[in-house]
Amino acid sequence: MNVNKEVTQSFVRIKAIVIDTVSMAYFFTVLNHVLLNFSKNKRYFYEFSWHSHSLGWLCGIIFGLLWFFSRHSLGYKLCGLINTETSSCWQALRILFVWSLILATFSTGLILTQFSFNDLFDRQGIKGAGRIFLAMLHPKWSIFNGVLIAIVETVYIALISTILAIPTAFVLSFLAAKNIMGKGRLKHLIYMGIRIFINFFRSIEPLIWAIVFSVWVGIGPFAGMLALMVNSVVGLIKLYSEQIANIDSELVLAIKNTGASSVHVMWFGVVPQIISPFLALTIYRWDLNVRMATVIGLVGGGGVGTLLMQYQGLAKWNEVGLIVMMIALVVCIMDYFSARIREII
Amino acid sequence: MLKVSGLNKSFQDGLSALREINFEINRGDFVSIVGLSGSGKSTLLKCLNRTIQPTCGRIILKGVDITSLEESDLKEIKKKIGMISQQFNLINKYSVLTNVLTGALGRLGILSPILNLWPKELRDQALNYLGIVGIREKCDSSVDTLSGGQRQRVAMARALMQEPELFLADEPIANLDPITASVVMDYLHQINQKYGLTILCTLHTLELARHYSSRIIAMQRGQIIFDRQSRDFHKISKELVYSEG
Repeated sequence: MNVNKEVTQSFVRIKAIVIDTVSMAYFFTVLNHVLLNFSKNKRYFYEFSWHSHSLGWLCGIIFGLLWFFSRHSLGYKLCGLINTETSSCWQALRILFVWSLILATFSTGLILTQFSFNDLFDRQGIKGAGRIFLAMLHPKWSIFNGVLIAIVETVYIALISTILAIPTAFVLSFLAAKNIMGKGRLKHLIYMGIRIFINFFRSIEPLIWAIVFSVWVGIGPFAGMLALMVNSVVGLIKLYSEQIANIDSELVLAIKNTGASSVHVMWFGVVPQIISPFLALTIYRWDLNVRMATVIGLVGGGGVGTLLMQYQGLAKWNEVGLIVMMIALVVCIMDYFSARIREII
Repeated sequence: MLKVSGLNKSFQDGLSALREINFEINRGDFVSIVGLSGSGKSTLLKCLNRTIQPTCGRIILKGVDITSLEESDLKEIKKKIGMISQQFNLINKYSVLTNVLTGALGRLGILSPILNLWPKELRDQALNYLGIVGIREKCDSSVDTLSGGQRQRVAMARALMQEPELFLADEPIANLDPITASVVMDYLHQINQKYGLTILCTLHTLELARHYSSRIIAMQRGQIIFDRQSRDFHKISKELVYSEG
């Protein structure tokens, strides 16, 4: 019992040391960065080198350790190692440090995003933006037919990508649901494998898939459709499997207790419970895909996005205005109907 | 017909739900199990059809030891044990007839039920059982439109569809009002009397148990405290069964 307590105690102390040194090292690094920005020789700021930061880290680690051994550090406090404190000085120091950390982070953020009021309120800049807005508010109706065809293409890209994603997602979602997979070792391995697969592929944006597929099958709607399909498969597996995880297990048991085979248990115990939510989720996915199809068009995925990219490249803002308005209209309509259908289901 | 000996069930948290359960049931008996919530009634029933795996002990149904069966042989035994419970556990939005037909899944191949192709003789059988529980005219309705009592009768017809040797009823009337409850119990009694089906039913009230069953088993804290013919049961005070022990 005592040994256990000692182990826990030293583990907590290690945690406190890590908190102290890392936070201090971070503080000095960020401070260094801010100072470099204001130094005359900005070369160090733009050309990152491990060397220019080593001093900051060294200082951070030394100060962090010193603070830790004073037994009044931030790490001590956060890990609950300080029970009673006589001097309020240490507490003030900790609060000051946290605020400095927040402030330094915020300033670094401003520097890295090159935030500038001068640019924001630059007379020339505002004039240029105003010109574009004005042009967009006077859309060029002569290209209406072309835009309409492109938008229909976009809606169909989204539709086909959703439909093609359904069968794969449907089958795999059962393997990704913990309550279906049970406790067997092999089943658990399959479950974990699919979960890792989903999480990995979900972190890849459809925009990147579109770039991959436009190299694979060539620029155009096919590449865009494939990109959205891959993204929809992983997205739907996750949503479907969450639905499956929430089903009423009593009904499943009742069907199982009739001596039914596992396929029948799935079909009569699980499927009736998930069919409505699946339909709602699929329609929502189509709605989402219409929006994404527009973005994917920008990198050569076909549809209205590609058209938008072309006119934008030629700086034809009146045409861009019409396209933007029509996209907004279609997205609104899709959004409305998808919400209504989901309500009915 | 059914012999339970030395049955124990302890859960992982150390809770001992069943302790040394021993009893025997003859063919055609209507046995009620009474006791407070948490006395182990439901756990006992769930052990009998192996929804829950007992810790130790034997359950022998018609000479077959259920406790030692492998998963594959278990299906055959489950077919012989029909079960209804307080939540009815019917498939919502499906018709009454389809719900009843699912009771025959153990007898059918994979494909035909999925394609909704049920053999004519099974349909007739299902309609016959719906007639027995008095809701044949509702066969095409969706189960969502039925009342609680009607749903329980559909669940009974589904269990009958298994052509069971043993019929387990886990608090079949717990969610029903008194009048509906007595209707459901009447049908259960009728099934026992007319068709000689062996019924094991957990109940909350002693009056109902005494009225419908031939024998009463009283449980308290996972143990059987009384096991008598129901006509002898008036000798035992109610307070004893419903005390905390």
